[in-house]
Amino acid sequence: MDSRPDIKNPSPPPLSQTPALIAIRDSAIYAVLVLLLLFVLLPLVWMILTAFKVRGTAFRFEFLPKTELVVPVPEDTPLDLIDPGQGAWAHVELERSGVTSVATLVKNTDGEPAKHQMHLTLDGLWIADIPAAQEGAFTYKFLVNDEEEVPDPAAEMIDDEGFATMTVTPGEVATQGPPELLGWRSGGEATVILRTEPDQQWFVATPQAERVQLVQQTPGFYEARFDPKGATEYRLVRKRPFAEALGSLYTIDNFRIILNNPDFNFARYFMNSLIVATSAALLTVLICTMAGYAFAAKKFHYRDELFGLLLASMLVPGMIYMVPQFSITLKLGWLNSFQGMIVPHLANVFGLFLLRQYVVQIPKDLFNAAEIDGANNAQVFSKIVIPVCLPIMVTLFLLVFVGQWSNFLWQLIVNTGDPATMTLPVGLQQFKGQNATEWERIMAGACFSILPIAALFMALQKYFMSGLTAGAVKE
Amino acid sequence: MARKHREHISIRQDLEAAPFLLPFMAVFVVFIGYPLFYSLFISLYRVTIYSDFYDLFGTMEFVGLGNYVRIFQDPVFLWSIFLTMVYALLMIAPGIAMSLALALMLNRKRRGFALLRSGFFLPNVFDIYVVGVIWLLIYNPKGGLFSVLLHWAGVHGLADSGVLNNPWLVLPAIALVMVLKNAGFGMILFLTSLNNISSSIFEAADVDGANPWQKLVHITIPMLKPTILFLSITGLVGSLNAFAEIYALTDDTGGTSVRVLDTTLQSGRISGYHLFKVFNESMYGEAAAISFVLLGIAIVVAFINFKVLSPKD
Repeated sequence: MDSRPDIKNPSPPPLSQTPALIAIRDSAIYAVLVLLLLFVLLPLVWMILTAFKVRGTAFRFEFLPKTELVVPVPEDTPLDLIDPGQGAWAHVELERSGVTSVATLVKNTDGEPAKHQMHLTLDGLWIADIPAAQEGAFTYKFLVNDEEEVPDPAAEMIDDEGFATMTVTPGEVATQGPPELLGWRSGGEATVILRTEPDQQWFVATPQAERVQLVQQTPGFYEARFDPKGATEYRLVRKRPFAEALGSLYTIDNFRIILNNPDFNFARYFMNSLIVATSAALLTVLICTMAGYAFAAKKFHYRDELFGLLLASMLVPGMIYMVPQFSITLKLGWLNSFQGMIVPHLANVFGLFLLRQYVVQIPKDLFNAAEIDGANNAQVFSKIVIPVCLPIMVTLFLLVFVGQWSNFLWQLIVNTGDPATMTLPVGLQQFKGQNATEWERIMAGACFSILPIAALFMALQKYFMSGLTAGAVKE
Repeated sequence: MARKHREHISIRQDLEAAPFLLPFMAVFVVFIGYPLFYSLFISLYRVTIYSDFYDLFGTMEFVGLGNYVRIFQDPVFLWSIFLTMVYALLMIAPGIAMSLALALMLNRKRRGFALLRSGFFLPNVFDIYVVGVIWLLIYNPKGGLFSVLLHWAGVHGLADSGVLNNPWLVLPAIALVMVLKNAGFGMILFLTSLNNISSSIFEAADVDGANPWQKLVHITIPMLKPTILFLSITGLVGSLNAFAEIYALTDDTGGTSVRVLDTTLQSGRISGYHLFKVFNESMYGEAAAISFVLLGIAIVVAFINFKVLSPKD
């Protein structure tokens, strides 16, 4: 508009046309459009993100992998686990390989030996924490595989029965190694000890949101001392590598499981949908092109009346046909069959209209020349009509393909639960019915329907758009 | 055209055209032409308890206009028509507004706009049922994006109960899904029409000193009336036929129950879904009658739309 300067009135451009304002307006439009696009494509994004999430995390509003993990158990472990002055705790351990079970026999003063089952840690140590040691001193030895009695090799003194003696001062821990997780306060200081795999970074998060690093003292044992400032609870935070964080949030398992599910074979559903949509689209294009050729280039009785009648039928909404089409399909024995899904929708009047309009534009001379050369109708159709109409045929193919790919209602009616011919949307509906809580997997199934059609559209969008414009011009 | 008929058309010409016509016409007659009349016929019959389960269509009982009488006395059907009108309003007006806004913003040549146009159109090719299932997750009260946003905005009650479980909000929520899905379709139509508006009209308006708003209201929108008419009629037919989105987003329940005038009705049972339910209960006669009543409604409303929106010059 403003490319043609007004010579008679060389007035300055209006305020809304100054470059700075145009730049501002344009970037505002970009921002609005990108935001709207995100909103419009939200289902696509949400589906993909959820399909790759680890089972059970679909409803967790978390999408970026966290390299810092708040260890859920034991969460908010109290600091007064061991309250100085109230009770005592002993820790024993034994290194033995090739052993199936070890227990400690604990004998308090003059009592019968009590048995404490010990457990094997990853690095081959048998350990037990014995809270039963209320008295100041107790004796103990190990019972290996329920038969062999072994004295503690680390003990300095062993009596003639093989028992070692351990003395525990109330409020402290008697130990040859700290327990798996322990936190206590003494004086103004808190101590947390954690036993875990090596090569990890651990933090204690205090209620004041301070981070205190747990430092490895001996292999596998981490310890932190900090000022609890009167608080009684803390959290453990583990720093983990990015790959591990990613793996704890996203996975391809959903796809693997869905593809290997014997009851819901999504690869099969995908193939079925592909068969139904492709054959419906191919056949529709073929019969529409043939009829379009006849209506455009041939003369026969009542041709224009018939064409008008066909066009008028487009005004009738599809649901009118639902009941009788079902009845006919039932009578033909076509329930749960591909032809039952394909054939009833082949007579696409809109497609016929598109093709007829296209063939009409072919110059009559072309047909006449072919006739003079002795070509018959079949030859004219295959040598002239099809090559010329190819672009609009592709358009019609895509329109029908997309329509049949998502013809949920009809495919739901015609399929009574037979997996051999079940299509994607119906299969997904069945899967959802039986796995209502497995949202990650439902979304993986949804990907089979959405992603191929999105790729098809992106690759051939020029044909989609031209079909749409052709449809709009009609009105 | 009248002259053509006087031309002699031989039987030979008929026979030459026949092989090309036959496949299309055969399918048309069997699956569209005949069903239209058969549907009218079925709508006068009713499946009764005496009907043979394995041949329901063959053993229906003639009831005359009984199905039609029954439909108009059925509060569930009347309610479904009311809901459909609500749904149509919720879907058509915002849908056209959004399509038009997108088209007006995108109707210029800028870097990346072609990609944006494709992006907005993309959801159109998706399966409605599958998109509905995805939105079920987005609307989910436990951690769906929508409830997270509601919590963030401080509307905790609604966020916890879920938008789709609220009888007042179930249809607006479904309409939002469809508006976002279909906006790109209207956008492309508007863009085509905008291209066809001659730039000389705008130049003339510039000479008269019209501001952008005046140009929009007095030139652009009147020129787009045919497209608006087309979108409102297809939107209306879409609302009357709406099924897959209701089925998906209400989990085949038709929405939470509400009490209206001492009748328990479902808050999302619009006509297309109601028709499916009736069909699913093997009440084929009533289903056929309903589809004809819906056709009648579609014609009447389309006619009113046409009267209101058609260009009067």
